[in-house]
Amino acid sequence: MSFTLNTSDLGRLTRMLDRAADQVDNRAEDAVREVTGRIADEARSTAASYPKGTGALAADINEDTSGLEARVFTNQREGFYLEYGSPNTGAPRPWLTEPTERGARDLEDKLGEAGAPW
Amino acid sequence: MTTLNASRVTTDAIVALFAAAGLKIGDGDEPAGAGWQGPAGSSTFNGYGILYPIAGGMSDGDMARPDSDADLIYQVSTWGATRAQADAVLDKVNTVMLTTPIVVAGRVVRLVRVDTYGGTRREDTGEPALYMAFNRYLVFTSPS
Repeated sequence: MSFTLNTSDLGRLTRMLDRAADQVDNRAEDAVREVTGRIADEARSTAASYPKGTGALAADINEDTSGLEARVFTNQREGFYLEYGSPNTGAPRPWLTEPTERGARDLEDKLGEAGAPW
Repeated sequence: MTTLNASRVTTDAIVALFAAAGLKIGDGDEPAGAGWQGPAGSSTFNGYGILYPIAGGMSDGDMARPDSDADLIYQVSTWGATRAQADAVLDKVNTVMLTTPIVVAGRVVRLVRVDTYGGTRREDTGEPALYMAFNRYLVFTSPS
């Protein structure tokens, strides 16, 4: 009496799961890039719409993504004052926090979709 | 019938709350009787604040009423002739926001939380320099 175990299906299943994991990572990174780009574009629009602005802020809003990490930032001091208000810039204008907040919620939905089983 | 979020009513309620607490907090602008009471730098400075509704927040709810809940954001910026004065006004604002119930017709304010501690900075754009501090708050409201 002999006993054999056919493991070829297990190997195939493992390969399928590996490919699926890569797909999830790729979709998640795409989502991060897309949302970050949208946040940066909205931030530039809001900064550009500020009537007393010099244009320096809108021209220096940068985005940076690496895998699942991303940031939108500026090196302009005006960015802080426009966001939180000052005697020169007037009332606070959340040029960065508002699109970031919306973008974070959108990203949460997209990451959920990226990881959903099919 | 569900009472939807009405920003004006909620903001009015917060302005009234500060007035009832005896604080000089302006409604989007500098309040009366604030700042220097005479020549700048050599007279009394009445510390004050300004309330700003801030873009952002979110709505939520059930399937039938998906926007019945509203999470709103407010910033209060305070001003003083010294760091301590700006901070003192903000501390009173913080106490009012976090411990005094906000009454909004048709709505219930479920929770108020600090969203951002803004710190205190010196403003050198005018002469003499002033100090500005600020906090941002999240105000969570639902139909009553």
